[in-house]
Amino acid sequence: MSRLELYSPEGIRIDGRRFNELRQFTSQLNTHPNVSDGSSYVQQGNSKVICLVQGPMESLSNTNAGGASKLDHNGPILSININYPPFANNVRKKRMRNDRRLQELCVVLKRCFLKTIVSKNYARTVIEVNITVLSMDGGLLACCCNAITLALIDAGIALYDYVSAISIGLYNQIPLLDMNTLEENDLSFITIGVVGDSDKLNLVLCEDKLPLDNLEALISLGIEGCHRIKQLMDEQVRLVGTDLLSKKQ
Amino acid sequence: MNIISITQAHRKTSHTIIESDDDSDIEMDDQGIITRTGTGTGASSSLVVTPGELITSDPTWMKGHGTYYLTSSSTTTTDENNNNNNSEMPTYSSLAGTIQKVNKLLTVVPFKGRYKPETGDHIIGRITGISVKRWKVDIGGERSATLLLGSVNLPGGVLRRKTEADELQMRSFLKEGDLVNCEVQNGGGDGGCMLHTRSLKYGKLRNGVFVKVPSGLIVRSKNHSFDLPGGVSIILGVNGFCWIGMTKRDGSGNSNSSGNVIGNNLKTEAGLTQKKYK
Amino acid sequence: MARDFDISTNQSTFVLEALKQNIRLDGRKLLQMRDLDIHISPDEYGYVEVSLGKTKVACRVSSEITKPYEDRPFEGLFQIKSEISPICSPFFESGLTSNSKQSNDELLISRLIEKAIRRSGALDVESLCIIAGEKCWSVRADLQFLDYDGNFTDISCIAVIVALMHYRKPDLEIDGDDIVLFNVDQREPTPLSILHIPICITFQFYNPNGDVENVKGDSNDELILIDSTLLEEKISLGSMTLTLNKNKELCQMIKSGGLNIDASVIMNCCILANKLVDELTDKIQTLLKIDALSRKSGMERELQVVNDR
Repeated sequence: MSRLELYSPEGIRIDGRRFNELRQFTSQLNTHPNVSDGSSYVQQGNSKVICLVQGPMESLSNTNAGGASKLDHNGPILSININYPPFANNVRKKRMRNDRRLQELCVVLKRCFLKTIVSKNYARTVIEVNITVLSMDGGLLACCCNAITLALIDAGIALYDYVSAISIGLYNQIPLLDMNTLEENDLSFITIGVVGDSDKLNLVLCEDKLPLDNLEALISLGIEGCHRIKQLMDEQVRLVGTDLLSKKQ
Repeated sequence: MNIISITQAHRKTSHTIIESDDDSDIEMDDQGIITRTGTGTGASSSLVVTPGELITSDPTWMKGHGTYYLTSSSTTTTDENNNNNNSEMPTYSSLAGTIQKVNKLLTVVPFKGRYKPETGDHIIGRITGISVKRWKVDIGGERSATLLLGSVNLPGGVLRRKTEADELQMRSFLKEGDLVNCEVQNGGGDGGCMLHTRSLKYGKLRNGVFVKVPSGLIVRSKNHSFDLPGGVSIILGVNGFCWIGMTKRDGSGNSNSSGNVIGNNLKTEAGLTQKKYK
Repeated sequence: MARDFDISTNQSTFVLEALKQNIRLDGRKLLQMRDLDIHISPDEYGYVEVSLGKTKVACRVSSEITKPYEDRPFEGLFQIKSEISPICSPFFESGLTSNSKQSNDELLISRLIEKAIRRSGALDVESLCIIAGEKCWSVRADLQFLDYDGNFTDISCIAVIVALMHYRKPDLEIDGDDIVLFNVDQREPTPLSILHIPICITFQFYNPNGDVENVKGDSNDELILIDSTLLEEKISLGSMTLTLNKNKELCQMIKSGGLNIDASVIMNCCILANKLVDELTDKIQTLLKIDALSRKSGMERELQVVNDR
């Protein structure tokens, strides 16, 4: 068969999932206890992301020292960096440090988390987030968002709630949850980030053409997916937390 | 909306990697049940909460660190049960940690996090900068602490008002990179804390090794410095900065050590005082 | 060094209070746009100046013949260049400083226009091909921001798309391996093939209550307004930009953090945006039609002059 069948008539996707099925979601916390205040590892299918959080601290670490030096009196300065090494994709491709797409994602994530962190607690501090993409199989923004949420929680930074994100694609009127690379290449998709268990969206990003009538279906499936991811992350946080507690006693 | 079906396999597969899989799994389940029942009643002492979780909707609790709450005024109009709203003030957690209750004060203590200074903490800090009449000290917290020139003991244990000459000599007392053994004079607040070393047991640290551990592992106690057999003493700073070094001699050594605490250059100090008396 | 736009606390609370009472400083309703004024250059193709209230943007489209990319031999080139210079407002500085706040804004705007127009395929790049793998048109749209009073994204999207629709590239003839280009006087130049007209609508969100209410409350009474002025833009707590076309297609959508907004509210925004886009598209099309008519008559008049002689 020359063309890939993204969604079979029986309702099976290219990797054997149903339309509303998430990929395997695994997460770990405190993966790098010595080099960071908080760290996390998120794996969604074959997408793997590591996130390190430094701070809150008084000033930026040496790498970024030249940049924004003015401290904000109302909240923290959040600096987010995505490191996307050449080996993370199927095709080896070197990305420039100032890749515009990645920079845009950084800005989007930054604005997203500035509203999620209880910012009044962290006035005049800097929180530095570094993300390294180990392997990417779709859902870059969603993976990064989930990883940052976990890492911030691990760092003991006060958040109003979890932000969980997921990508949803559209195939002939049918919304598909949690896209992989093959699906992302052929279908248009949106990424949404949901706050906690509510229906409130913190983050919406759509880069492809999409009939407006289908948007509602996509978002509602996405919200359900985000809630499930939040649940999975919450379980992990509790697991790690109780583990830490048992060690303390 | 449809129900999401999910590959549940990951729990099982991850178990093969994690060693103590069975225990943790059960633990988690237990915990899940406990917290779910716990949120309603607000009962026993150490409950695990995660960000955004409802702790209690009882307005009588005072809200401490790690919590946030909806003020009743903002929920009044559009909510479904108007009658309840006047009395309801839901409190949520903003951290992943355990609930701690002191009288009517409700706080969430995070599992991890940077050191939060509290008045009276015995800590170890590292000098990061010198400015007018003060040292900037890294204490592993969110912000640097300040150590005022006025709140250190001068070398030789002389008690007097600090002069301009002392101000110029600050770097000879403590320079960047030096470690100090000190106490938090007034902690927390918004703009970093103040330190002091106005005691013979505090001061500059030398002859030893510095070790950093997560601050959560150190319990606040009455005594933080311990003498081990073999002439080794250890200082466990509340901020997780620890110092393993040579035991200072007691008796006569004590007065000596007070001289040694700050300022390695006794000679210049003597010269300074002499000049002053001329 | 660019100056920051500083608003006194007093001023921002005033604007917010007014917004809570559905009043904007310039007397508009919350969901009302400023007057859109499109000025099409009368004597050349592909230059437009668009203004929305005080915000003003110019866009020029130009083209040349180049070699296509090797991996896409059947497609022409199309690029949009935008640079915010201090000409429009002292808050911007020329040149890029990698970490400043402004370059973030600029980055978002240029990425947004790029996605709205280029990625959505508004311009049919395959029609720009002349000889496959050998020659193709390279179309370039240069955006110049002239005056800044908020809402750069919407206006620059309109400017680019109108300029593209208005632009005419010189007609040509393929003669074996040679290409014969005709002067505008010799042959009527041909328009670009525009597949659809994407229009951006930016919503700004404000929160009358506290942050906590936004996260946990059920009231969803966030204030929403479109086409914000500079002042409103600076005090907004979050924005969302939708790009739609008349076929009810969403070309691009970005809500980069900020205030948390309920999904149903977002859907309402979409419906509203759809209505606005319809109006704007009609307006643009009639304007271009009028312009085309005036031009034809101009050409005829010129011929008339020749005949008279």
